[in-house]
Amino acid sequence: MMTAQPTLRLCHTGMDSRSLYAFEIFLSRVDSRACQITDETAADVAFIDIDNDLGRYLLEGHRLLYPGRPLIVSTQKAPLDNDPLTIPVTKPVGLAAFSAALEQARRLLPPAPVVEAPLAAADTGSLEDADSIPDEMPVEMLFNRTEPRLANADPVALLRQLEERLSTFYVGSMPDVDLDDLIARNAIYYTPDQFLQGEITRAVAHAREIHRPMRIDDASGTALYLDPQSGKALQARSTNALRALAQLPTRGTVKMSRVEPGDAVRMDTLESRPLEALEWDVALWASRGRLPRGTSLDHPVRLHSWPNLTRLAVPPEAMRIAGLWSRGGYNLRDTVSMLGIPQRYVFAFYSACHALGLVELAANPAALAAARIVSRQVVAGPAEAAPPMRGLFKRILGKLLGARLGEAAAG
Amino acid sequence: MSHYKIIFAGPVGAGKTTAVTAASDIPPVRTDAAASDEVRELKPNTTVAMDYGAMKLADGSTIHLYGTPGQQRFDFMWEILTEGGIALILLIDNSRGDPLKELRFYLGAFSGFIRKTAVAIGVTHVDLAAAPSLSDYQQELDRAGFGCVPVFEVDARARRDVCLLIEAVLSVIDPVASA
Repeated sequence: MMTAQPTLRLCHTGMDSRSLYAFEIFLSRVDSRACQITDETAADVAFIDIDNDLGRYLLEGHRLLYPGRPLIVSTQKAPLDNDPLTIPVTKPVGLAAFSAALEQARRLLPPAPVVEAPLAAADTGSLEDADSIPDEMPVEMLFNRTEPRLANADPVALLRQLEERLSTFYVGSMPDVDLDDLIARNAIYYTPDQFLQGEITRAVAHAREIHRPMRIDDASGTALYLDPQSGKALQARSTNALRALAQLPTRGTVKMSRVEPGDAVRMDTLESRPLEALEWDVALWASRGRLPRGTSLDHPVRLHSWPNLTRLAVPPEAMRIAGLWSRGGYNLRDTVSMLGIPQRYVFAFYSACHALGLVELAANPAALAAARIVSRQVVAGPAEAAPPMRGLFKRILGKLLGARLGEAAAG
Repeated sequence: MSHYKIIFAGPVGAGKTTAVTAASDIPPVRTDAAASDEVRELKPNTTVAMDYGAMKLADGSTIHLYGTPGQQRFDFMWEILTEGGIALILLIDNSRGDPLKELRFYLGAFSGFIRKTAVAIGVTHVDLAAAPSLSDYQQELDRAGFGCVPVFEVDARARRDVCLLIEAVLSVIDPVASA
């Protein structure tokens, strides 16, 4: 039912416990019909305090996760960037200013029922619609939501959570399965040929044969132009739309054809990106934390070369996985257990590396035997890393993640 | 408090000073002098002793970032600066001279240090020269017996790029303990 003044669902982030306490008292003075606190996924509008070390990252991360959501931002140094969906309120935030910001946020919302909608469909009408693929894991489990005060207490944990949420775009949300259960194990495989990933692979191979760029179309028209000779791709769809296309089997709805002279006008209007980066993204989107069918879990992975991670999307834990594989001798099963990370992280990274031809599985018995010895040594106790180094990575992680998330968002 | 040292090396103009500056949390210390030889054709000033920056961690630890002088006549500084270091970031300018020859030279010059620690390669100025490719670099590393090493395209001015190189080299040193 549509109401004249629906209650806004408000989430908040970035406040330490003291600020949060003050904010809760403040909110108690705001008309309860104006807004109510809710969790992040269900919110219509977010309130973010950016006057702390993580503020900028939280703001940019939230914008990445919820591109269509109005954000009320409290800061001592207004004005902010001219993002039309970001509403700055200067500290100290007064009742009138906050109420005005809520009104402004309300006007920015799409004209849809707000109060009556079930929480799971909270983002109806927003840009996230393109991603609405059923997750294999309940959202609550995936986000592993912690009580906000606790999350605020550990900046590294907060950044980790942010990275994990952003990463669902690339590694999906499939829970770990029992790898010794042959039936359950079937869930960890996908067939790249059945996805946009396979269509791109075929188009690129054909373009190389005929020395001409290729085009990929679906029912809505042209989605991509691919030119392996220049190493460039032109994207005729938004990233959200392309991701939606790449995540589901194409079932014959996509076809490739040669680029014709008549395409030149359209192509001139599109920005190019490295073909390698497109192939990487599309493989991650299709994989959603799964492996190409037929990939052995027990043969050691050989990383030929590192992916160019300064110019490609960095899936979660990619650095550690690559660091381990660059030593050689570790299979997928052991990679998961040694690093103590979800299977989907390892499988997604393998799938993307595989799509770019950066990895292979050693198949000969000698390599397998060597891998088993290595695995036993590692399982018995982590390698001979110099003791002073232990934990350094963890301590520096907040700084590195902050730089990564912040500039990724800015870019 | 713990202190760690990461070394940035590479030829003149590869971006060492810029990279240290980009990653540092403090105003970097530089030992620039006016270039007086062929370096002057590349840039007006060059590092003669070292660049220094630092990343401050929340627990009070510090990662010291040292940039070595690029000119070979200051190579005595290389050994001094690597003493106690935990990793090497090697920056190579893809747009000048023979980048793979430069790579070979610096791998050789720092081979003892690399064998004890770890190395990551940052290839700069790829926007000016796309070749050699990153896979050419990896092949050169394979030939030199260094195996699979992180090789990234890098803009030395971008903190994100420099931090990713640091993250990669730390992952190589100890991926398991990084959790």
